[in-house]
Amino acid sequence: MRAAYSVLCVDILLAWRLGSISLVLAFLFIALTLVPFGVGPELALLKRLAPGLLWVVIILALLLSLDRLFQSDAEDGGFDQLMLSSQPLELLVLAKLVAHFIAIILPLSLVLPIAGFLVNIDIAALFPLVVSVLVAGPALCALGAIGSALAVSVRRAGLLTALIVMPLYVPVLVFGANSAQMALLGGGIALDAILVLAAMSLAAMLLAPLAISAALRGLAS
Amino acid sequence: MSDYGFYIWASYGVSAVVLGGLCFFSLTDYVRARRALNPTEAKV
Amino acid sequence: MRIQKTDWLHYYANPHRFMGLAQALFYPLWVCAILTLSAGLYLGFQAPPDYQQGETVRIMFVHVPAAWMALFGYSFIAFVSILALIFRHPLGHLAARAAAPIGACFTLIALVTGALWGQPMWGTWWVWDARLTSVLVLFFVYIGYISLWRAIESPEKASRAAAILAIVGFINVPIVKFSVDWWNTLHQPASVSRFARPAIHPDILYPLLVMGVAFMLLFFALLITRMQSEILNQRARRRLGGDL
Repeated sequence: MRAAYSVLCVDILLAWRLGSISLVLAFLFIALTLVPFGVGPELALLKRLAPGLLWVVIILALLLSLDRLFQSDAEDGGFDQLMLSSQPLELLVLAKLVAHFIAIILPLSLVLPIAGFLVNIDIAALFPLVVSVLVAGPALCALGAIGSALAVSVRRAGLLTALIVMPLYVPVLVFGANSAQMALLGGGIALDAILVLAAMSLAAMLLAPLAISAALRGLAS
Repeated sequence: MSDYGFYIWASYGVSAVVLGGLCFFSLTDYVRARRALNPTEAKV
Repeated sequence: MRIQKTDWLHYYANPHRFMGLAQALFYPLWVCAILTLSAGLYLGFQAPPDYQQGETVRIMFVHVPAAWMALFGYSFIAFVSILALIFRHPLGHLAARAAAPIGACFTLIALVTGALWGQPMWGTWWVWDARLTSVLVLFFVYIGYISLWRAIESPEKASRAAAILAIVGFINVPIVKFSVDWWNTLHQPASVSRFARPAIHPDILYPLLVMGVAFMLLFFALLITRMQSEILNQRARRRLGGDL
């Protein structure tokens, strides 16, 4: 277990030091700033769009940040060490996913209220929005990592990774954004949508490490 | 909206172009691959 | 003396034997495909106009079989990828790679004919209807799959990555369908499915089925053509370049 735990800690520290989270947050706000320039600053319109809009911008920010997930390890040879470890690769990958969740998704959810106020989000939808992002977070990390692992041997894989991951993100986006939207209509948290998100996250965290390990074993050599 | 003819012709036309193009390129690749081996293989 | 049951799958795993089979099937497949296609087109234009949709029901004869093949194509890719990855069948990767552009073309046809079918009905070129949206996502799945094959230089790494993507994507397809259906009912409370099928009576069913068979034959004709091209190219490379 110790190898997994150390992977976890190292990854969180690295993400913190390298500032990858600040890049994601910067992109979030920049993209959000573009929206009123595009659709006009009318507050009622922004209020209606807000939950889905925030979700789409989060997805875009994640899609763009994914390619560095495994490539930095592949470049400096960290992979060979991981694969020589006595721990099963799947476990180490799971540790990496958890680290990604803690390092990226948690700060993102903390920042969401500020981003929400930029687009005049309805207060009633704010809490359901944060909940939906937190519950869907593991799925987002796991599915994104699959794309990142598949493209690990490709130079400049950013757009390729985004292309691969986009269909995987569609179900998560649908349930996540709409669970926040539904809060606008019906008040409170849309429990059935949140449960579907939770199921997706659980399944993704269990199954993605299998695909990721299979990909890394074949590709990182 | 009574000009259904355009939509029907357009649908079949696009399908013909896409499928025809695919068949054309697949078959020409095949013929080229066969010809490349012709000097060394006595089959056409 | 032990009589062994012929294991067709492994018998044709040998590329040489496969080439023999492919050559034997080549002309029959193409000829049958063209014949059934002609028959389907003839039946399609003979069918009387549907009382609800008028002449545009003829678009359905291309749209629906194309959508079937789009889905079949990806299922086929996933199936042979599993054979290649888990059971290590050597022709699996080849078949998957060859089938991808064919499936993508059928998906494109389904999308374009879907839009053309919808325009005379509802006056807009595109509707985010559940089925069309699912097909659009499927199109991006194909594009991602083909892009992955082309992005990785080493053939072994590329085939392995593509196989994993095919399987992951295949699991994703029903999930996407489920999500898009849910999303659609959420945003269209007057929930009459926009592409409600006309009542299927024989005049419409037969051309549809014939076109479906024609497209299926075309799929396999194109598939073995492309697979043969790839094997022949590999042979040429080997002869010219010494051993790989």
